[in-house]
Amino acid sequence: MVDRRCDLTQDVNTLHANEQLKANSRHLRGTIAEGLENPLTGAVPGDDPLLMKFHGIYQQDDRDLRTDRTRRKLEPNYQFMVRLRIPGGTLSKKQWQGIDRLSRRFAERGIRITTRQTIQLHGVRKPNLRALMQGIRDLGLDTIAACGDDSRGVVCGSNPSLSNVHHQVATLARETSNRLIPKTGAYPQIWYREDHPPKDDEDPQYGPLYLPRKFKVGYVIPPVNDIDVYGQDLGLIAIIEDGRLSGFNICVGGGMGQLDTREDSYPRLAEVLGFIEADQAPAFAEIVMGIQRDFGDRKDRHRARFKYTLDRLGNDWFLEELASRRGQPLAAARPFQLTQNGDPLGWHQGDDGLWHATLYIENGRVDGALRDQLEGFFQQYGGQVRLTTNQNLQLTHVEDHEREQIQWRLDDLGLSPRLAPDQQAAHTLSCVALPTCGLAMAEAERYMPDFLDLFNRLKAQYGLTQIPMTLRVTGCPNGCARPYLAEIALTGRAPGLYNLYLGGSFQGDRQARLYAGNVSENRFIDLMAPLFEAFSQRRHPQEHFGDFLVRDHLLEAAPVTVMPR
Amino acid sequence: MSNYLFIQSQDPFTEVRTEHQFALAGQLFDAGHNVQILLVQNGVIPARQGARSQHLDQLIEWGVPVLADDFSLQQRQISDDDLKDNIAVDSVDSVIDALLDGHKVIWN
Repeated sequence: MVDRRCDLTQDVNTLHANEQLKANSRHLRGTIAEGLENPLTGAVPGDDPLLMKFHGIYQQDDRDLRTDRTRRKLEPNYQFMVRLRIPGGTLSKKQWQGIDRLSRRFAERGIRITTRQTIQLHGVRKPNLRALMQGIRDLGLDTIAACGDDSRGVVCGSNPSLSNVHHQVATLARETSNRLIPKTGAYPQIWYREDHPPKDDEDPQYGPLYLPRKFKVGYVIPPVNDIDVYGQDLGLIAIIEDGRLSGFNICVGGGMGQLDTREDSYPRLAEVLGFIEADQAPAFAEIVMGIQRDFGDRKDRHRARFKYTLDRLGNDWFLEELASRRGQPLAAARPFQLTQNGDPLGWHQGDDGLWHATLYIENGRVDGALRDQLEGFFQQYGGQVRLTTNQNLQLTHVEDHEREQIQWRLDDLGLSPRLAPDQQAAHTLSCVALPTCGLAMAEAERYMPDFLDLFNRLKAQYGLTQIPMTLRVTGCPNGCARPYLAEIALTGRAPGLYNLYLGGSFQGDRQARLYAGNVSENRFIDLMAPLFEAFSQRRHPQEHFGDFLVRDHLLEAAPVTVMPR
Repeated sequence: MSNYLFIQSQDPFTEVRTEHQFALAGQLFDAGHNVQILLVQNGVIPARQGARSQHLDQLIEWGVPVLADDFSLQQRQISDDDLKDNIAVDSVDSVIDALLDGHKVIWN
């Protein structure tokens, strides 16, 4: 008998406060519309910021200015981050140009390509929110469920050399996203001022409580594990046989977030449980999301992700419940191989003859000169655009006869070096962190240029310059840049201090382990130097750093284990 | 022998006349005239290392003085280090100097 003392079968008044907020929100309306009209504050008052996440909007403030503004008796410097929903990360040229125009008009820090293959606009002020949202709508895009307790944007990996398979998988990813997003009329009512009075059954797929926490779905096309499929709540691994898409292996229960203060909070890799036919994928995702909706923990928010539901109730229970809802059990998983989780950089020709090129974008930040270079580039560009989960920008669907002209333009505008960046930079990710992320405890994106320079110098000392290592830095343990899948990761604890994780694999299929806690920059060097030295001396040919650490048992005597604060 | 100052404000990729202007400058230089090139606005784009302009590269190779307007470079965040060899950074003041010296100024 399944223990249901913490799920949505319980009286809502006994559930977490966020559940009660959702229940009373009239399908995510709350009083957002009224808050937007309040001229006395730059914020949206009350609990509405929590509801706005479902609309793809985070209320933030500039944390660099907090102390000064408090001293001057001013409210925090409120601003909003707006995250678009771009399933599979594909955009037309005109959509990119439109987003660029909107960012220049309404945002303060350019465009940021995220690790979930979408775009965030930071520094949007409250009076501009509606105009921005309507501008996004006019581009054929939206921000629905880009945040909140719902199905987040569906990511889709890339394999340019298998264009037809990629097209099929990307189409399924879009279909999945459209199927899983909330259908509440609150979104067009608030942002487009359309008439959508609340109805009891306006979001039957979710119900009034939506999901216990976010739910992430991702499609990957082997051998490139660019989306880190084992970090998804539901991962679908394309099985390609004789060059054709046969279906998907499914893996469930991945999740990066954890709290350093709770031992029952942990990152977890998804487990491969079986195989489904390709055309079943969107409906399958809906069924799995439905299981999490019905059985996820709604009392303890820190144990509400799908990974905890699976660990609490077990894979056997899940497979049984899944078979019951699908009307059939899962087929056995099929063989596949993943070889890397970085993007294939440079030019690649697909099996349809079209060309694709990946431009490296440091931390996904498109601002300053780069924004202008890209604006100039897109004026003459005729192909399409794809955002990657490694925060890069792909130029796709380039005809053979166009390639020379495009390369010329890239050369002229100084964009060509981005086709062949420093290998270490190309395998490095960081989250936004300070000053706008409310969860950040340490720097990440702003610190990365200096840190990467230091890291590269350290590698060079041991002759490791040519060996890329997946390196990820986040401002908190929540894992926005998927740190626990990296060979080397730092997660923020306090300004200048990080927990150091080591031993993930280069292809993103092994979880990194905590190696040392509260590590400063100097201590990082002290800890890494002997490991790099050992790696340079005892490395097998073609062996990656994470694999070496595991093979050589160097992680079993971690120097310091951090105590929860 | 005459003195010519070519002011080039557009880049070769987007404006086909740009290369023709550089070719004309080359022909005048070849005929023994003094020729100088000033790149302004988007005209500074072929001054960047790696940028393609067959005729501009030819002029540089022949030793024709090529100047790039500092403000135009700054606007496009092209630093001195990004420039091709033998391109000097200058300002539009050089146009006034050329006019006062009686140079023939050709603006494209």
